[in-house]
Amino acid sequence: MKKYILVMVVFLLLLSMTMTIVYGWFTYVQRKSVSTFTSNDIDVIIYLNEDLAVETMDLSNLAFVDFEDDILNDTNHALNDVAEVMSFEMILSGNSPVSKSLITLDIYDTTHPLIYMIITDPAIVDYHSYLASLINPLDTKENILTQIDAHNQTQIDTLNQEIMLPGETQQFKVVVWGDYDALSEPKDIENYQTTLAVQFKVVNAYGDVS
Amino acid sequence: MKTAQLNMLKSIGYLMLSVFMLTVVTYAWFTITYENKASLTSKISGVEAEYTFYVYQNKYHTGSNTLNLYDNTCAVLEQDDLCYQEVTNPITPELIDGSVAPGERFSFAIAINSIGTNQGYVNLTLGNIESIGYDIEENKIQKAFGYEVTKISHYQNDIESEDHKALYTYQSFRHFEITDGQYYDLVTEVPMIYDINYSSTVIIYFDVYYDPSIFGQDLDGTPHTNSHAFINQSFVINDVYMNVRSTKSS
Repeated sequence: MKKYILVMVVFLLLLSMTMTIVYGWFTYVQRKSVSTFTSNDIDVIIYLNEDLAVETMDLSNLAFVDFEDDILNDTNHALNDVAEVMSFEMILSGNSPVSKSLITLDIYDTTHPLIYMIITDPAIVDYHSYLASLINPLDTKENILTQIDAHNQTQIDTLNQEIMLPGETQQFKVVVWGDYDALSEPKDIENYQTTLAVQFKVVNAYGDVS
Repeated sequence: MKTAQLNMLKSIGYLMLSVFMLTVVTYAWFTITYENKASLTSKISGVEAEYTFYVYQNKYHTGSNTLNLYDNTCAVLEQDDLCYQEVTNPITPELIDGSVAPGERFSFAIAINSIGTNQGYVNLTLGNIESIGYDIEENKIQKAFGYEVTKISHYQNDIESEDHKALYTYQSFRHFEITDGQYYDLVTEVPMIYDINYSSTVIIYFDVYYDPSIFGQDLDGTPHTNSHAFINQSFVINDVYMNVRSTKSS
């Protein structure tokens, strides 16, 4: 009896192996590796005027100018020299995903007398010429300020749509003057101060931004 | 006594034969399934197949819109971006350059070359899916990824056909699941030869997409409204299985 069981087991084993061999013969199976995808934090470093940007930075070179004589005509050829220039540089780390920044500028003083211009081309240093190219000097002051605002918004939109690859740098400048005529009475240009909040919200390029 | 000894010797003989055959089969099986050369030729029951694997290089991680493999390989275009890079030895999962983020898409192509004129039918399956670095099962990054076949074509006489995936069984967009051990079919029984008079290559294009609408959850099950739970994780597609049969299943 035991012999029959043994023979039966061996037979079944051989049958099983035969089926396996036949299956292996009529199929051709390969296994390959595909890909690894790694999700990292977004990591950026921001510089303001070549200093590492911290939460609050004081800028004390704001100059008040005359709208018509200086902003429009640059009668004294000094508009470029007296401009308060804030050069921002944001570096996306090499380990970050493809990203974009959502930049906002907010001046806390809602009745501020500031005229500012956002420039995304770092090569531009003749601010008066650049400003003159944006506006119609024969227009009213209100319309000219609207034209500058429209330009600034276009620049912000351009920055916000820019896809940054890991390791890339995004640069822009904010050039500011004080408009003496727009300063509230008493016109204390020595002690006028306000806060310009610049927010960089850096998000991945295509998807979730919450 | 002599008969008993003879039976014992026979039994030992059968046992040794069984062990030997089992060893041979096991060795043969692992030799076939763990073959890792990217391009090889094998002849199994009259079907000759050669396999090549490509990753589409796109530094912006937006996948490929140029679903025409041989005109857009990196070697042909002599560039290293926006082209199909042949993976010459995919022993380990190809690391996608840089970090990935929701909304990104990655494209791949597998070309299976039929050298002879004997018809063969290809099944492609993804498997051994793995998430690394998750806190709870529900936050495995793999559930935010999905895949889909984007094109099936045949290359004959130096011409790649239009997409004719509609003729075959293929996978439209499907998310990976958090359950381990799942297999994910790409295509089923796609003929290697389109026109039986010519040798040809069947090309399977597929994308892997990081779905930005899939979110994680808190440890207590409270759903998140963002993908932050998947940050600092890795998602690995360890294997793509290619199975070529000489006959279609009934």
